[in-house]
Amino acid sequence: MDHILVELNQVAGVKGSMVVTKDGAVVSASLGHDLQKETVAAISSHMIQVSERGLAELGRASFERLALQSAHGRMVFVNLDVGYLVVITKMEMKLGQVLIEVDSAARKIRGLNRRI
Amino acid sequence: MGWWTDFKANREIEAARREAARARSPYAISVLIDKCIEVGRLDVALEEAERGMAEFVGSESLTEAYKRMVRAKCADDLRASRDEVRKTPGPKAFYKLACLYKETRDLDQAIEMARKGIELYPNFEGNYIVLADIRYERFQRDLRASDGLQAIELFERAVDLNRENYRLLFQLAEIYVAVGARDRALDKLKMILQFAPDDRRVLQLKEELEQQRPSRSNDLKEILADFEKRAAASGGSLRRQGQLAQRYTRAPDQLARKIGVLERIPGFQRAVILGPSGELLAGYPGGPEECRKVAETLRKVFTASVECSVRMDISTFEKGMFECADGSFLYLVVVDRLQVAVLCSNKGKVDRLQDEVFRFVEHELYV
Repeated sequence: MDHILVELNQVAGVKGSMVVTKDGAVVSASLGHDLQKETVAAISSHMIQVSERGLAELGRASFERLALQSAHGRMVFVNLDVGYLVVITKMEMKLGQVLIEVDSAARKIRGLNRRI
Repeated sequence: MGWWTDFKANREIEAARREAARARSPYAISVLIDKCIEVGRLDVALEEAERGMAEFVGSESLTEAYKRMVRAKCADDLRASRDEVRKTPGPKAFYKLACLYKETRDLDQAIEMARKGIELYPNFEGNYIVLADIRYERFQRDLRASDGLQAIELFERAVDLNRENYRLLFQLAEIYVAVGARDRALDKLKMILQFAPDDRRVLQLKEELEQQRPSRSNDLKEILADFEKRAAASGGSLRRQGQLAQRYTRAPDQLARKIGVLERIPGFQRAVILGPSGELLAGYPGGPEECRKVAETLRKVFTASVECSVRMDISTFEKGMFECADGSFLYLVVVDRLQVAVLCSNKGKVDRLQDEVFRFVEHELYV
C-alpha cells in the first residue's frame, strides 16, 4: 500500500496521503515534512466520525467521497470500506485533477485489499 | 495604443459598464473586469475590482476576477523574474519572484520560492518576510495562536538579520500591540528609535503604549493563546464580519424569501443557512421549527469541517461536498461567514448542484 501512496504523492500539488481507520489507527502513511502522522490521523478520524454521524442523523448513507476546500488547500476522504484514504493537496491543483488521481489510488488500494 | 484602438476599448468598456450597472451583482462586475482585461485596460480593471470587492465582500467571482487581473498585470514581471531565478539566481531574485507570486495569490508557489531562497541564502531577510507575511495574513483571518506564533518567529528572524529595517520593525511592533504584547512592542519601537530618534509615528505609539499597563506575561505562546481564547469568547466579533453576514443576521426574513430559489436544483431536498455563530437563519422547505433539528446536525458538521481545515493548516474552510453511498449529496459552502448547506437526492448531479449554489450566492445573496 505504501508504494501507492508514494506514487500519489509524486503528483504535483499533493502534500501527503494516508490510509486511516475510522478510529484513527494509521494503516499506511506517506506525508510531506509539514505534516505529522498522529495529527493528521486524529483530525481525519474526528472529521470522518462527525460526518458519518451527521449523515446518519440526516437519514443518509455513509459518504463514499468527501472533498473539503479551504483557502490554502484541499482535503479528500475516500471510503475504502476497511478504512479511509485521506489526501491533502495544495490549492494549485484543480479539484477535478485531484479527484481523478485520488480515485485511481483508491481503486488500486481496494484491489490490493481484495487480493489479500 | 493608437487613438482608434483606444476609442474602441473605451466603447466596449462603457457598454460592459452599462450592463453591470443595469443589474449590479458580483458576477456582472467580474464580467466587466474580464472585458477590461481583454481590451488591455488593466487600470480600469483594477479600479472596478477594488470597488466591487469593497461592495461585495468575499464574493468568489470577484476574487477570481481580481486574481485574473493581477495575473495579467504581473505577467511580464513574472516572466522576467522567473528568467532571473533561472539564469542569475540570487537572494533578491527569489524574493522578487516570491513577492510576485504572493501578489498574484499563488501562495503555494510564493511559499515554495521563499523557502528555496531561505535554503540557499539563509542570511537574507526578505524571504523570511514573505513567509511571515503569508502566515500573518492567515493569522488575521483565522485568529489561531499557532499562525501568529509562526509569523512572529519568522519576522523576528528577519529582524535578527537586519536590525535597521524600519518597515519590518514597525510592523512587528504593531502586531505585538494587536495581540496585547505591550512590552515586546515597546522593545521594537526602541530599536527603531536607535536609528531614527525623531520619528514622530514611533514616538507617538511609544507614548501611547507607555501609558498602558504592562503585559501580564512576556511569554509569546501564553499571550497568543490568551488572544485566541479572547477571540473565541467574543463569538466572532473580533473576526471581520462582512456586509453579507451582518445584513442577513439582522434580517433573516430576507434570506427566508430568497432560499426557495434553490428548489430549481435537480433532486433538491432541503437547504439550510446558518449565521456566523451557527444559529439558524433560514431553512427551506418548512419553517424554522422544522429545520431546527437538521440545522443542529449541520452545525456540528460545519464546525468539524472548519476545525479540520484550520488544524490541517489549509486555512479557512470554504466548501465541502459529501457524496453518499446512496447517491445523495450534501454540499456545504461558507460565504462571508454565512454557512449554506444543501441536501440533494440521488437525482442530483455534483456539477449542477455546485453551479446552482454558486449562482444563488452571487446572484441572490449579494444582490
